[in-house]
Amino acid sequence: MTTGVPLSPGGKNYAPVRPTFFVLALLIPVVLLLAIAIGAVSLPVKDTLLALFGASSDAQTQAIVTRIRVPRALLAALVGALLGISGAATQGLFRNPLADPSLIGVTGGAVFGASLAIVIGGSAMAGMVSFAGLSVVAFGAFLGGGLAVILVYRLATTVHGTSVTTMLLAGIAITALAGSFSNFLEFIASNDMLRRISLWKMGGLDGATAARVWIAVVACMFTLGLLPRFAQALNALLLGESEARHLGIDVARVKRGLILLVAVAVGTSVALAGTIAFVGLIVPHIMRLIIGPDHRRLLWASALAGAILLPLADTFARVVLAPTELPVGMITAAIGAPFFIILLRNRPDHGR
Amino acid sequence: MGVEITPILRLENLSAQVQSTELIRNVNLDISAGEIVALIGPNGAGKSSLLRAAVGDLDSFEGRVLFADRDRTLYKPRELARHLAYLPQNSELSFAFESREVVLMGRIPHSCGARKDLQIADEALAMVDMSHHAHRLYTHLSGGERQRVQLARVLAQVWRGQDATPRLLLLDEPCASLDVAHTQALMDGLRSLVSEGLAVVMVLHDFTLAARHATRVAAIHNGEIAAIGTAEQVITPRTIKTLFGVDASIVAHPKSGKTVVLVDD
Repeated sequence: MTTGVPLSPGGKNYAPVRPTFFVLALLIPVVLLLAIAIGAVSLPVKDTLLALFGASSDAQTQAIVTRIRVPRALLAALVGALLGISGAATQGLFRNPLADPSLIGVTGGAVFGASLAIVIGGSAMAGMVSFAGLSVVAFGAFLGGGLAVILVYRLATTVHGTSVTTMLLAGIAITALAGSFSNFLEFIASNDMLRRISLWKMGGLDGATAARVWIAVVACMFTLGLLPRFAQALNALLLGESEARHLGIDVARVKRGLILLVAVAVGTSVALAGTIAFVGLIVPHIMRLIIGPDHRRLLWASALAGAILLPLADTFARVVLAPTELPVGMITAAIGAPFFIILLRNRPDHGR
Repeated sequence: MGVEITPILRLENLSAQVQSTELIRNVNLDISAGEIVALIGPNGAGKSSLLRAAVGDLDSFEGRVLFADRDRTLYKPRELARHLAYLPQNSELSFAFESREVVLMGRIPHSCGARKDLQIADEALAMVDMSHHAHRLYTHLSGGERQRVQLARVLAQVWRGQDATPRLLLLDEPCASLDVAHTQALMDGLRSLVSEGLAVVMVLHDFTLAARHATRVAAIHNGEIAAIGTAEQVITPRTIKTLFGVDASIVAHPKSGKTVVLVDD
């Protein structure tokens, strides 16, 4: 999909590309180090660095860093990258800078899948069955999210192609349907299950393990490897579907590819970390203001910014009421929602 | 015995309907290189539908569309996009690209090198008098300025190449939001490209403009081509009365002698 059309140099509307990417790339290790050093037990930077290289003199410090903090920080960064880049792609696909990946039903479906796993797994045997470091709940979430997206895509597809408007409405309907099923499950669930469902829904990175990090790495390689190939097609799609077609873009194929990639990315992140609101919406929005709407830059920038924002939010979630750790989804929603409202109110020339 | 020139675009018995409403009926039309064909006719006559059927934007139609003697559906999308550009009446773009970035999108189907693409984008911007706004954000432009940027985009898409490949530009009311000076500039630009082998089909509402610039004029009425020929043949008080139900007088321009249409009181 990528073609040799040059980026337009010389404008002063946006930050210069190279320095921006340099800063973003530099911020990631800084934020990760911060996330590893700060917590219920805060560690001096020197001890943190020593522990990172397995050379800590204190066994407890070493354990906190390598067993708990490093997987958690890495998982936060990887999930943040997945959400950021999926958000940018979704907003392009829907031609709406305020769209969110959950619009295509993946989150609602995942909540239902996870709830079902908790309720059935709970009655079967404590729900401790796991495979490759993933609990049955995570599998339930991934399958539920995937099924919901397939359903939404099918509902919006006719012989004349896939309508994004219909997808949006079908996404709302499927989310509502999945929500009612989830409510039913909560209704019949025991108190213990109810609490687990409720906590899972808030989204959290406390289940971070090396296995989960590896799964996130694979999902990131898949998503970051393939989504940018659609960058130029996404740019063309912003002109309108008919216009994109007349620029030689195979629109049906592009939509199918984008929806599949976003579903895998968001499905994986929901399975690994529960529902984390607003990251996929706000990260691309901010990056668009900084480096412009061209997806050849925006997709990568959103991935990097997501990998910065989520570890920061998670660190905040861990320390704000320490030693109690808040679910990170609560924090992103608490910060994200007001931000979203400000964006809504200050939209420039959207007088349509 | 003359050699028959292959038309760039041939519409054969083209008909289209939505539910039971006929949009266009049995349209036959040949467009050749070096032509500017103006489509005139009342609102809802089928001018836009004709263009949309030609580019494949209508879900269903009957008849055939041949591009350079080959069925349009046999082309790969990108291959066709190198030769055929189409600008609908309304293009909406709510993302803050710079004007030149929008124009560069017209080069997506091509692959002739970054420098060449930039050069073409700048020349296309100059043709619509938007060079000084190359770095302004599209979302900050006025309606007429946006239209000029979109025009530059489709112009860049079918810009003159090294080879003599057929190039066709379909424009749906391109002058609707342009002031008189920019309309003039656009028409002059189109004529210079047409003299190098481009073919243009455009929907126009200004008879005088059609008379001055079009090689041929096609009057569309109830989805059919009611009349086609030179401006003098087609733009007559009788056609105007039939198409629009309006009485009009044709006078000669005092300086150029070209057709000017005056609507009677």
